[in-house]
Amino acid sequence: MNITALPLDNNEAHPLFAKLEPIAAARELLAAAGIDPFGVAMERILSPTEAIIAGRRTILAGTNNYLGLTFDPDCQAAAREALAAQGTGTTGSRMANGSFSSHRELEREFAAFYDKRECIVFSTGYLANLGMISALAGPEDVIVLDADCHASIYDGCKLGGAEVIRFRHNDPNDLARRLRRLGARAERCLIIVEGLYSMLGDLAPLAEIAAVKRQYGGLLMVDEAHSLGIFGARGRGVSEMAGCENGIDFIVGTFSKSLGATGGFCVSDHPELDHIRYASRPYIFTASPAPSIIASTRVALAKLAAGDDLRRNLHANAHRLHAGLAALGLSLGAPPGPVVAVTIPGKERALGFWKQLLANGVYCNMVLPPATPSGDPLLRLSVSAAHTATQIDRIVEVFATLRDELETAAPG
Amino acid sequence: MTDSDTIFKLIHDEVRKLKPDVAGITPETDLTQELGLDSVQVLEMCMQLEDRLDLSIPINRLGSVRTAGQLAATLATLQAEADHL
Repeated sequence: MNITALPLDNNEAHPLFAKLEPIAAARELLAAAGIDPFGVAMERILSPTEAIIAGRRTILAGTNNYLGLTFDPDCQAAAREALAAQGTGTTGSRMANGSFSSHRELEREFAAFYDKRECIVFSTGYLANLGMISALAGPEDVIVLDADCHASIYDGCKLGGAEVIRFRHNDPNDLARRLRRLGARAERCLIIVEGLYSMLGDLAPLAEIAAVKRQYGGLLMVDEAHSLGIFGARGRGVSEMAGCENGIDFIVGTFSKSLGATGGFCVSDHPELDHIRYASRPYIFTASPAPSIIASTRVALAKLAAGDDLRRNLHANAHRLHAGLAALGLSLGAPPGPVVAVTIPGKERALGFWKQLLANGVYCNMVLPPATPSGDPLLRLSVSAAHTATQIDRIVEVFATLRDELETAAPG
Repeated sequence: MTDSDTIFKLIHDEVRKLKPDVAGITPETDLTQELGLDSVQVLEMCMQLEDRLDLSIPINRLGSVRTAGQLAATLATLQAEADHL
């Protein structure tokens, strides 16, 4: 091979990079407008609800830190202790050399918390969905999922190779129609929904969905990533609140929201869950969570299970924020809950709104179509139990000021 | 069973609902590049077609669909498969 023939000095982009050109163009447009909603760096974290961003003290209203446990002294102490005693990482997968006794203990604690027989801990919430779905539903099987399911669920479907059918968001009748059309194949079906949908903050009608599953067959998986610790008498999620936990075969969740760390889990009464460990590539072929993460998560879960004070704070804050924004006449995506999504028609207007929120010390998430369910841009706020009433009121105050400014500036 | 021409007319109807300014489509019309439908609109159109034909379109079968004609052919195949169940 003549290496001098290789185009070493060629300035043209490699063909593999061509697909990135539309992304680069979109980023340039945002950069020219001085907006970077997807690259915000927090320079210093002051608390679960405040950080320094661009040199400015900023209220964090877009971090999914629902119970505010990231700075909890007991969680931090447990993490520090595990760090000192067990080291910085496991350096191995759960299947090979990365299962410590604390991973097993956390699994037992999750199973006990949910009153379920089995639990598997995964390295992230994303991997919990990938690992469960791909191991359960293969090329001979069918997955019927809510059209608004998270990307990790779609990716898990792709990894397993099952046939994938979507039903209309939160529509049990449409789910029933899809299962009826499957005929006998409905028995080989995995139904997947979420407890709370993270973009708009709306809840699934889980009791109705579980009833449809009972009628047609199949297994039901519910992702409670955004609802663990928030709904239900014991904080087990929307399935507990809806009184249908016995009709749900698998509950999947994450440590990275209410529990303030990184990791994922699945609980079930099916004894077969334990075999999934041997069939799940995302469980087998990645490193297990670090001991410090497991330690802080165990304390966070114990706190979550011990009482409802954090949940009550969260819901009080959610109602305060929702009422304040609704009083401004803003269009909100769902009733009061941990996610408050404000619809701002018009991409330029929404980007301008987001930029000014940040300039006024309020951080939230910018969600642009087609990632939004409605086709309109969203300003997505997540509420924390750790927010103070003063912080919530300040968020509403900034929204009020900007709404008035933007309405004045709007043409016509 | 619905014939291919009828399925194509259903697609035409649904496109007109989403893009009233579009004068007409041919089997070669590219749904996203030419008509400018985004992924949410394609999903909505597929769900309307599924209701009208009483079938479900697995998303695995949409991967190679680019044109109105390819979508019509996919729907016709799915309907034939459903009739053989």
